[in-house]
Amino acid sequence: MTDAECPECGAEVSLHDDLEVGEIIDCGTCGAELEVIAVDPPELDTAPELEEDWGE
Amino acid sequence: MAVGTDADAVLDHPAVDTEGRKLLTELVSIPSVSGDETEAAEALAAFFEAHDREVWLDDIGNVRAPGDDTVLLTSHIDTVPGDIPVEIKDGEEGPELWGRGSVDATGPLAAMAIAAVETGASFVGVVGEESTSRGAWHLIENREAPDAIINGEPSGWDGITLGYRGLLEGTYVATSESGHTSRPDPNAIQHAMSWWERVEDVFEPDEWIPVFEQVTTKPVEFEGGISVDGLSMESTMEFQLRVPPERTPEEVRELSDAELETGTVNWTEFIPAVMTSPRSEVARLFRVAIREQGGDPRLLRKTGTADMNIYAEEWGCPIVSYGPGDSNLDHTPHEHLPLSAFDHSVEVLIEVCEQLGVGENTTPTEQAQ
Repeated sequence: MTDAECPECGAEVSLHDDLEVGEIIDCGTCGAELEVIAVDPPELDTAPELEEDWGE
Repeated sequence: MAVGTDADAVLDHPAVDTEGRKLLTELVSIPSVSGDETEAAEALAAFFEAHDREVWLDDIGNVRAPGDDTVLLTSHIDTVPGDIPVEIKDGEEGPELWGRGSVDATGPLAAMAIAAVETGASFVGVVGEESTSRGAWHLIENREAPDAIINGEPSGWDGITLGYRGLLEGTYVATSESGHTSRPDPNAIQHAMSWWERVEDVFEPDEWIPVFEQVTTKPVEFEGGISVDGLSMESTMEFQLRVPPERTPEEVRELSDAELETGTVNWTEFIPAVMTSPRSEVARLFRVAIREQGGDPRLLRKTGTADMNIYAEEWGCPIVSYGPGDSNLDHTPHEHLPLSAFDHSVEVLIEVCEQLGVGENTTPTEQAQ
């Protein structure tokens, strides 16, 4: 298991071994939803927020 | 700058330089208002035939091109009415195709057709999405569920739609005895207006709650006046109620029925809301594919209703909606699609299909029920 830094609060986020790019995980410290941008080395970014739209 | 309005001239435009762009332009050039989709459906079927894919128009007019059912790519052939000249214009993102359906949803439809022949994924172009969703209902009744569905609707090439509100439709009817308009007794028109006001009060908008999470009310047609024989006053109102995932259509119907004092309501449409997780495997693969194309993925939930609601309710398999185009342009006179966005969406769809495993099975797997 490896760690990566939460881009929201700076805390260390524990990552599981079979992490996949695009996966959304939670920061255990601030609760932010984070998206895995890369796995080697691991890189996290704030996950996209849900936007409201209209149609169809 | 417009360079031509004739369909052939548009097809000859230098920007229409890929098979995908040609298919898109051809399909947008063919009027395909709900109920009159046959010519566009035949053109779409011809595209699949040219790529040696099994294809047919089913009993209701859907274009069925079975393939690897790991993924079913499906969008709608029909558009709303409105004659927008088909032409290529220069836009901020390069050449744009203008025309009815370029966004909703011929753009997504054409992108999916290209991705389907490229990867071997199953494909269906359905009819009637803009009216009664008869194509989607027919599909549900005559086909087994695929492993996953990508439903073609405009989300922008860099976005995916995870949810839609449900839809409840009905017709209110009231009659009252005709009489002089100076009398104080409420007539049928007043009964209709009174009931509708009470329904609006029940579902009063809350500015602090997202629209997606609220019931919204909308009358769509009203007729009222003296009957043909002159003996009664009549009122008829057709209306729609949009239903959030937190409520069922049945619950909203019961709350509306509880406000009835005079008149009756004939409920005609019950479509539940759908909301899928951004953590699903399909959603994950879309984010990856969008980033690979240089995009910043967006996650959407829409306040309208689409065939996705029906597939999610009836089939229950993993599903998202995706397709190029700005849905702010849906049904407007300004409907147009940047061709670069179309190209990106094709690449995203191909990547997602391949990552989901399309192509690992080589035999058609669509099963008629």
